[in-house]
Amino acid sequence: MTTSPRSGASPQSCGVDRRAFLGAASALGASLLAPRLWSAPGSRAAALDAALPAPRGTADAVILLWMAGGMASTETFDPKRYEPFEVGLPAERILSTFPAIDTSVDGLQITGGLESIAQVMDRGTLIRSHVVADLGHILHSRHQYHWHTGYVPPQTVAAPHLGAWISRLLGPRNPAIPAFIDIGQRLEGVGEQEELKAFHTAGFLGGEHGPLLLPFPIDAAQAVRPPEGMSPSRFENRDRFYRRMLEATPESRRQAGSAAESIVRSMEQAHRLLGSPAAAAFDLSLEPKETFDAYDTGRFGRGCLLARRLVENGARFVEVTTEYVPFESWDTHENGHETVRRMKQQIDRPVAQLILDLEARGLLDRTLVVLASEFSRDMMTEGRPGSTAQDQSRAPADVMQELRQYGMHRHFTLNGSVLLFGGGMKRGHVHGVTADERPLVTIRDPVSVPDLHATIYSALGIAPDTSLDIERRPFYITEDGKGRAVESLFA
Amino acid sequence: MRSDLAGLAASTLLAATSAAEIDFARDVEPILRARCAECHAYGRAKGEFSLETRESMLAHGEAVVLGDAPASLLLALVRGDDPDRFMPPKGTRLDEREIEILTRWIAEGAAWPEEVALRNSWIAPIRPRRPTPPSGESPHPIDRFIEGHATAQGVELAPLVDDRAFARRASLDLVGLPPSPEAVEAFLADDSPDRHERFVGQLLEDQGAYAEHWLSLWNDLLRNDYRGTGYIDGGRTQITTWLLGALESNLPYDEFVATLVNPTPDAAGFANGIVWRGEFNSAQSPPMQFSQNVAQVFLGENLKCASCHDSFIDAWTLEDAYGLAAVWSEAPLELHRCDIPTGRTAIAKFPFDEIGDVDPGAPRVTRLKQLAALMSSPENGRVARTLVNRIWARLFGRGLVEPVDSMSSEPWDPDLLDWLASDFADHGFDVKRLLVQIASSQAYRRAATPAPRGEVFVFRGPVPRRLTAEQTLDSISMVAGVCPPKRAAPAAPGGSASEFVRSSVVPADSLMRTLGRPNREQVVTTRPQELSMLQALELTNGAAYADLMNRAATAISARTSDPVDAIYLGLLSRPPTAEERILAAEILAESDPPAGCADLLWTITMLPEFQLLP
Repeated sequence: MTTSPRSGASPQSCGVDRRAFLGAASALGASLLAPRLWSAPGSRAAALDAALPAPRGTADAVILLWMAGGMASTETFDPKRYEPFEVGLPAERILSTFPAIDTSVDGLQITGGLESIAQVMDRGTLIRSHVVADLGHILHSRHQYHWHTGYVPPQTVAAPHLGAWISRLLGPRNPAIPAFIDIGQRLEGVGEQEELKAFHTAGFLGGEHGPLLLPFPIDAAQAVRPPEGMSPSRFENRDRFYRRMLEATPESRRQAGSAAESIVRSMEQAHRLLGSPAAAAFDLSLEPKETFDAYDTGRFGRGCLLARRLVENGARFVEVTTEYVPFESWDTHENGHETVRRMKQQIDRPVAQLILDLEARGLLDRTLVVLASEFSRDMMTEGRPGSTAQDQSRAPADVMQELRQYGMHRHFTLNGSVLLFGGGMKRGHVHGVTADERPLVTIRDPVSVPDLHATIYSALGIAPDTSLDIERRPFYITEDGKGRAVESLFA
Repeated sequence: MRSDLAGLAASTLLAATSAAEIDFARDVEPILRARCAECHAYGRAKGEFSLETRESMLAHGEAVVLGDAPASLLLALVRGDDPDRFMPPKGTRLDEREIEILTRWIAEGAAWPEEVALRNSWIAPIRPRRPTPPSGESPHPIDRFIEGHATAQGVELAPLVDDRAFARRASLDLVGLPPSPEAVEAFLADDSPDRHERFVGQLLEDQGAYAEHWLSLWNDLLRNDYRGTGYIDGGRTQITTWLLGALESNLPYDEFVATLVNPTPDAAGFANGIVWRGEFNSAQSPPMQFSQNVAQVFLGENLKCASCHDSFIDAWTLEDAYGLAAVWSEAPLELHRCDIPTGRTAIAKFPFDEIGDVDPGAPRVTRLKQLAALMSSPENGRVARTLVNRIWARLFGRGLVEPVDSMSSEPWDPDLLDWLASDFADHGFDVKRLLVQIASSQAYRRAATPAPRGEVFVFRGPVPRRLTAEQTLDSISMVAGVCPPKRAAPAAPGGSASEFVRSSVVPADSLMRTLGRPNREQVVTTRPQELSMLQALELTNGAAYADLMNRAATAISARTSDPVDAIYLGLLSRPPTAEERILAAEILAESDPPAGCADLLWTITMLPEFQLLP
């Protein structure tokens, strides 16, 4: 088993050596090495440190649209030379299996099948240079863990999800809407479910910052309704009896202290949420048919609609996923072209509609919408050039014989497309450049996971070196506090 | 304008006080103790900044720049130059005089006598100590320690709970299940003075119930589960069969630890750790997992910081963390600092080498034998202290040392800890005997008493504890006579799995996770004690809990026409009061059975009286 350091790890990637530190303490320049001081939760640590710009504070809410399974950038937002399928076509010539199309931004092209999103590209920023960690043997749940927590698994403490950090540091916008809501991912009955659970969690931040899980958007209202089969009046009665029973508990059996208070308080809050007008936000049946249909391309599309309704009503962080199920949706190990064509049908209309709706409601300015994936894909290269990871294609072919072989069936970590809309980001902007011939690596302005996270946090007004103590040591919101916001993305 | 005025005021003060020298003990130390020490001394180093000693203060590099007050971040923060970031973050701000003192002190070179350190003078002993229990009236040595503690602290101990509450507490604590109503009645009918001790002894005779209860604690500690990362691809193996067997046979704890660090094949899952697919940080290689987990679980020491670099918060070094890893490692192990290879090879080493060491040149099989011998050595008092403290924390809601993984911290009664630990070791590392000893003390029978946050802990009685997911669900299963359909855990060798399937032997479902059963990819030594709103929501309207209530209510209704007594006696180990009986009847009458019964069951299980141990 190799434990060689990951490529790109910097010598300063986890703090400083204590002895070097002591030695340098009196020397000029020691401050560059020193760990950051006192980043209290939510503090704006940057103000006193010239090297670290102040967080922007341009957004109040985040919607993360998760393209689970590895969305190939050349098939979506970074078109390269298009080769239509034909028998006998050499695989190495294929860079994109979709033609490029124009967008609402002059000179910016994306790929066919994304015509609706093309029309809203003038509202957002496109990063084409998202470079993620390469963890060797490609395993989606590990990369998703890394993307969602900012830390490569395994960790010695349970690392919190991005949404849990935001819940912990900013709290809910509306007390009746949980601060961290996760739409579309089942955690039971799917492959790698234990691995998925490992990062769909608040980790050491504690259960109160964990996600409210809504795997099926159409049933989301059930999460804020009395249990199935219980009438509203019975539900109300039960709560009333509960309060009376609390009062009736004999003095000698009463419990005091924070654990007891938390039970009573949390039960009250839960009941209040269930009775709150905000609960209607969860109910897609209240949406006019016209808008419902505009979003209704399937679970993901309905999830986008639900996210819009929740953010309208004060949600803080909402993730909507196309759902990770091994070898499904974006996880194309064969028949990639056909599968991606269907995935585009799922995402194109609802993503565009979400942006337009947020804009029409005056919410886009303060809502950051992020569309991302754990890595990209390629026809030829597994992982990255030089990787020893085993080839994962299920339809390898030097020349095309059948359509099943046509598509991006290998994982690729050195390019990646991310969309950012609203929340203080530039409009009609493109960041980063990738090569036009293989290897299709990023050749300008790479954006790492820590830096992308720092950008999201900065938009929310959170310093990237914010930390909390766990087991008597600081745990940073971006890995070792090293994430840096990409300042040029902000308008 | 404002800053000009402040500057003016400061320079006036400077002129006024400059005649006198700044004296650390008189001028500076009181400020540091009162305003900074809570977060930056006594073992705490928030933001990796420690004010324990001058050396630790200067180690930060940026906070205090000797002779250059304006460049010192500490002063910028206490002045509050940035309205969004200042120190101290809570309470009143430092006044001008205090700021002036610190400014001059730093400008003059921050003199700090070497003998002054803002840290506890406590040095945790490694070898066993055998203090004599104090004399006193109580027959039980623990109670004599506790009396001495209470007298010294000037506090009154909490009253004793009644026998019903004791029966419920002891039964849930020792075998994880509430006592049957018949067992409670039999206990109440017994008026012999040693009835508590005998009740505890009887509970522990049920080997299967005992083992399947304590299995959860050890699964959390040893990262053992029935499914999860690594189990599918062979990156991890279960130790369930061995563990259940060890618990059922009450394997002496020294052998238990020795077997886990120098494992037989059926116990090797813990030491082997989790082999992750793909690349990972060098601090997470299997030998490093071994080092961290052995240190945390058995020695109560945190080597996680030191697995990456010399620790900032204690004395552990990279060599220490790698030294223990190298005992386990099959191949020579290269030290990595912050995931960067250093070119140096780790030398196998036992962390507490004052009691002995392994031979780094010896073959692995010998090193592991030596490590096992050191862990179970009569000279090693730490292994016993750590276990005794974990058990104490389970039974009292708070350890003699807190946090339970920080055994170098000062116990609130060092003599009690050391006596318990050495007594445990001197009596064959018998965990059941230890449980009887603690649970038969009066200290264990005292009423649950919250420990105010932020105050120095003083023992008055157990701290309120929340039922674990397993205790909660098994309680409901028991009263209803329904249980999970099928166990996932293999049975102990020779043991016959009982028909009543406990929740500890099935994989965690969403409900158990809601109730706090953890993912076992990390070592987990404490479970959450508070109920969050999301958890309350899940229990209030989640399908899983509603379904459990319905199934349980159907079973109860089929069995008895008077579910009220059954539910109260089964879940709370007491009959309802007259008022409760009336209320319960109203709930039952509100809906047709079994819906009324389900609502009553829900109501009772949401009460703090049910969710917390008495």
